[in-house]
Amino acid sequence: MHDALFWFCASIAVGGALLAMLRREPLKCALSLIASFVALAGLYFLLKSPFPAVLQILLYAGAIMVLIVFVIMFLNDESGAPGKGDISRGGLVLAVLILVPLGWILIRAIWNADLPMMPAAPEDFGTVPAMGEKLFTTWLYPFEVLSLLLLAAMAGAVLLAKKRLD
Amino acid sequence: MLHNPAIWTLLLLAAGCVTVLLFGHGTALRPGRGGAIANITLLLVLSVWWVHAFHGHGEGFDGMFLLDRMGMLAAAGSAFAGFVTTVMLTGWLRRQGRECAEVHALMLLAVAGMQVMVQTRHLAVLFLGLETMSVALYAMCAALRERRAAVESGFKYFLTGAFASALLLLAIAIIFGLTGSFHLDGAETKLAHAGELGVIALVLFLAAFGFKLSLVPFHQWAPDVYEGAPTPVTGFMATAVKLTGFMTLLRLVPALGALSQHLLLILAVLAIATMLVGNLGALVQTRVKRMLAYSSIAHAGYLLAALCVVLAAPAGSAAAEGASVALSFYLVVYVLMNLLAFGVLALNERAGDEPLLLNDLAGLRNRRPWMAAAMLAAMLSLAGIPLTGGFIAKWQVFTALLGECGGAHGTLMTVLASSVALCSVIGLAYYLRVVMTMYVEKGEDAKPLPVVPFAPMLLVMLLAGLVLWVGIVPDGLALGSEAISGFLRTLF
Repeated sequence: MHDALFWFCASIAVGGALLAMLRREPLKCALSLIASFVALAGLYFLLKSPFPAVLQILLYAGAIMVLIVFVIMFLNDESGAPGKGDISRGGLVLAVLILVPLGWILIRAIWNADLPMMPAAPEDFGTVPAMGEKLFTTWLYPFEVLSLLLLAAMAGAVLLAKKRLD
Repeated sequence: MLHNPAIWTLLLLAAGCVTVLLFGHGTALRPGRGGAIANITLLLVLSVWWVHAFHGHGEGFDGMFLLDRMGMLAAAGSAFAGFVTTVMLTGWLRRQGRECAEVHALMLLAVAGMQVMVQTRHLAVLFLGLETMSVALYAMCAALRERRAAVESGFKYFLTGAFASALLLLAIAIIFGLTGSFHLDGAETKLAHAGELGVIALVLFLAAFGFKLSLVPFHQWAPDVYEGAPTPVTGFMATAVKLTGFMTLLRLVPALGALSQHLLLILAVLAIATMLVGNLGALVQTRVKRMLAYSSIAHAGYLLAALCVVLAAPAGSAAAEGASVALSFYLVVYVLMNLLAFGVLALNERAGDEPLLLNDLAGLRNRRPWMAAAMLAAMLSLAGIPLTGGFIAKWQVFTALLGECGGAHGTLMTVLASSVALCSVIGLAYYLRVVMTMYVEKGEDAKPLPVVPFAPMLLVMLLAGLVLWVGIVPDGLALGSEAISGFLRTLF
């Protein structure tokens, strides 16, 4: 049961991500991405971490996707016939020639790898108190660095989007 | 924890960034103060490092944070590069009519990200630092977003950078899967028995850093990105990013070395390809910025050759120690001379988006004798002519390579040493071409040069003096640094 659910969620997650890349209409890409995000939340549930799973749905599948869809709607120009032939045939062939063997090596290596067992997660793993405690004790430093990263993204977005530079 | 200089510098950088964002904006009547606030912050950060005189050792946050001499040196180096860049950038943006405070805030964040990156052996923290640095730089590259070249630069950097980050994340995920930890300390033995998957992680890791450091064959983005970005920002990317990246590699690669006995061969092949492609590419350029972009690729090759010696020499031996000192010294000199070269370019660039051609520098000797002299110092040092810092740096790397020629990897080291020598000769051609243009050609019909403010000119002169000083008194920088430390300690 657990395995079946895992494969179900995992294939939707990867498939959605692939579709988001391959579809040509931006809105359909966004919708595929939502499917991928929700499936990812399912994987978090399977890993017994309900809190990240809920956040994944609320923030990614919810807030961030609404933002992305808004942006697509705003920028939607009427001429919007999706571009064709952006990728040259030669480039495509080259990419396939390089990526297929690489992917095969990677998948085979993961399949054959002798990965050590991770220690079992503690009982309260993935709950709000446990995560909060981890975030503000062990992981405090990365947590604060992460806030710098978000600040950089924000200042960068302002710089690129501001109407009038002073 | 409060005795820890790294925490203070990070707090200073964050506070400076917020101050710039809140109070740095100019109005129609007065210019912005963002650059000034950023400069003060960076000077404070530098003085914190100097007060601690680059001594001390510490760990914190469960080993996520690691403070040692190398990390302090790299952090101070990137803060210094940030300071020089901010001085140049303030005037440059004003001349282009695009003053904006956010750029200076992003500069502080990039410096903070670099510091986080070099002062850790924890892979998750490393990734966060790298991303902070990269995200800040993506936006800075496209700061003049009305220009096609700037947008192309930012977008190209973003796409390749995002791709590189994905590779790095995959490598980190695999290493975590193999060892059960993000720490590289003590992971060597586990990694050594990891088999095929470990080698894949290593290759992904090197590819990601290859993108960030523009090593051949991951370099294609560099010339376009370097050319389209604001010139001072290009200087920052060519110096601070390389400094941080190589210091991080120097710290992590010995641990990753357990993954594969082929690591040395991979790095050596990358080094030779990088040297050759960088130098040959630079030969055919007519735009100075593009030429310097290829030149920075070429220098990444020399740096990688030094890293190969660190790996080839037996771990912990005097030779390995000497090679990593040679690498650090090369990095410091490299930062100084490239900041100088890009600084001179930034000061001679006119408003508007036409690129600075080599011919624009024609007759600089008569029009701006001091500026021409500074550029001469930069070019001679980049080419590795005696009496400049570049010569001492290259000589040290070269002797380190020769010293290992009789060792276990003798053939490889001989090949590396001969390619360093060969490529330095090729390099002479294009560096001396700039000198010839400045000093021999008349340049009577050249377009007028922009007015140069006092502070950036002073800084350029200072940098030129440093480049020459290191060339004449190789340990001069260390002595000078100690003198500054002593002086600051009397103040506090």
